[in-house]
Amino acid sequence: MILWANANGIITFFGKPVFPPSFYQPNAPSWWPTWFPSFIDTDHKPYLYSLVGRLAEAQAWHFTFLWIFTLNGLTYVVYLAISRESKWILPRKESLKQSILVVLHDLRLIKKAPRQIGVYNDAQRIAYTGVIFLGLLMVLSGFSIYKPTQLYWLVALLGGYRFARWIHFWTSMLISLFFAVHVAQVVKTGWDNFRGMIIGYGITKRPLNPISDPDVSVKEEQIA
Amino acid sequence: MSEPNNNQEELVGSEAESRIKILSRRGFIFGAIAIAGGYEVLRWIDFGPQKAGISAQLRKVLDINQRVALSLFNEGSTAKLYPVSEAVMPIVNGTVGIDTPIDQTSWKLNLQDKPSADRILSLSQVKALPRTDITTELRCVEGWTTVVHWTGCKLSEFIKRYPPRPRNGNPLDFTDFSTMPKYIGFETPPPGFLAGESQSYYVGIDMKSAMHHQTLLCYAMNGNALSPPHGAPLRLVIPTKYGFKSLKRIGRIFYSDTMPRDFWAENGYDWYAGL
Repeated sequence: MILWANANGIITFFGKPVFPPSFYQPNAPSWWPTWFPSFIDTDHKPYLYSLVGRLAEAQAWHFTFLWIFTLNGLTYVVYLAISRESKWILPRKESLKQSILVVLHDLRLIKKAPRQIGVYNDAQRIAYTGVIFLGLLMVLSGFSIYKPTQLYWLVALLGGYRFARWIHFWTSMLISLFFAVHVAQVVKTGWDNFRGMIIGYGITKRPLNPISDPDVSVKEEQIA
Repeated sequence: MSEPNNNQEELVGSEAESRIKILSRRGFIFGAIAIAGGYEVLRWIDFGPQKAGISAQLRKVLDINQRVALSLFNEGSTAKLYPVSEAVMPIVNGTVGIDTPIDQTSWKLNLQDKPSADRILSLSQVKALPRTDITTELRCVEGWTTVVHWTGCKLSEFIKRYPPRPRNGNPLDFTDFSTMPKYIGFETPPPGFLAGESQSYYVGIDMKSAMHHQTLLCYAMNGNALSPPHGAPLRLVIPTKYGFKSLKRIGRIFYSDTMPRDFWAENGYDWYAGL
């Protein structure tokens, strides 16, 4: 459920950008890459809704869905903590070094796959923990530029209004990058894994008894 | 991929195959319904009933956001101040209510608090109040900001000098908002007042924000008297809110117990617009 909501969140926030393409982009900061919201906005896709030139509505969407996704993120973090499933996600001591090997292996630059401890490999551990921090930074910077006078201390903590705005934008870009790589990896990993993500269960192929039973059997188990 | 979970029933072989088929069907049907349902909800929000220039559903959330912001409003939080040297002239971003010239010398301010009789004030009466200077950002809801040096008098001083009538038989106490009107409204001189004026501009302000010490009735900016495009002879400057609340060319000020109408709140933005 949380995965569904997050994916939808990225589409909602960028499909309805606070600086919709064409009309309001002259007021966006100079480093704002205009191609990005233009690429993802629904301007020329009549089967979806569009907010081009509708700043008030774009903001209303933003200030509505911020609550849903903030609560969604909080739920996720609380669930990770309570269920102790965080142990699969938090980086290990060797994660930094190992993650480089994982990336090299994924890019087919080295042949030997690094050893994986638990559900996720070390690159995944870093990515999944990193994206939680990106989400946290995004929420904090978002609230700081939403109410910069009332939350002046938060603005100061984040290095001033301009920098908070800069953070808010770049965290959104990085989370989108995470999302894109994540989807690409899911596609690469194949159907069984995708099915597992959607329905919450998966099957593993492994010998039931490696010595006496060389046949590969099938077993059901719950995945995270 | 994961380690066996011993709390979970373990199925093997064809039993597992058939079980996973059922689970898959259930999961994907649920997913499809969730996607279709979610999409329909978005469409319903977008194309459903409208209220004040925006989807009625989104308007409900904006009203909740406003209630949260109002209840958390801290009088001590101030808009950031800048050195005077950083002040520049902002662009003129909107001429609703000021698109025809007025005779600056015959301008009068109309102060209302119905059912009491109107008070007619001159610019010199406003200028007689203690002068205040502030250099702060004019922050536009469209995403730009400009540092401006404003000169005028505090709106709180004006309210104390020309107070509202007592409410509900209670004596007026400026430190107790329950004895004061909830709102204060501002309007440009009405269209009928000026030949050719097509539309007046109007804003409503909650009393807490009005009494904030950075809220000014302003008659000069960046060291010069206000020019007509920036709201001469007298304008509102409220740095704790977005720029569209800082109404130019005040014609009428009124105390009110009901939320005064607001031009941009009627066109899709939130009424509070606080920063």
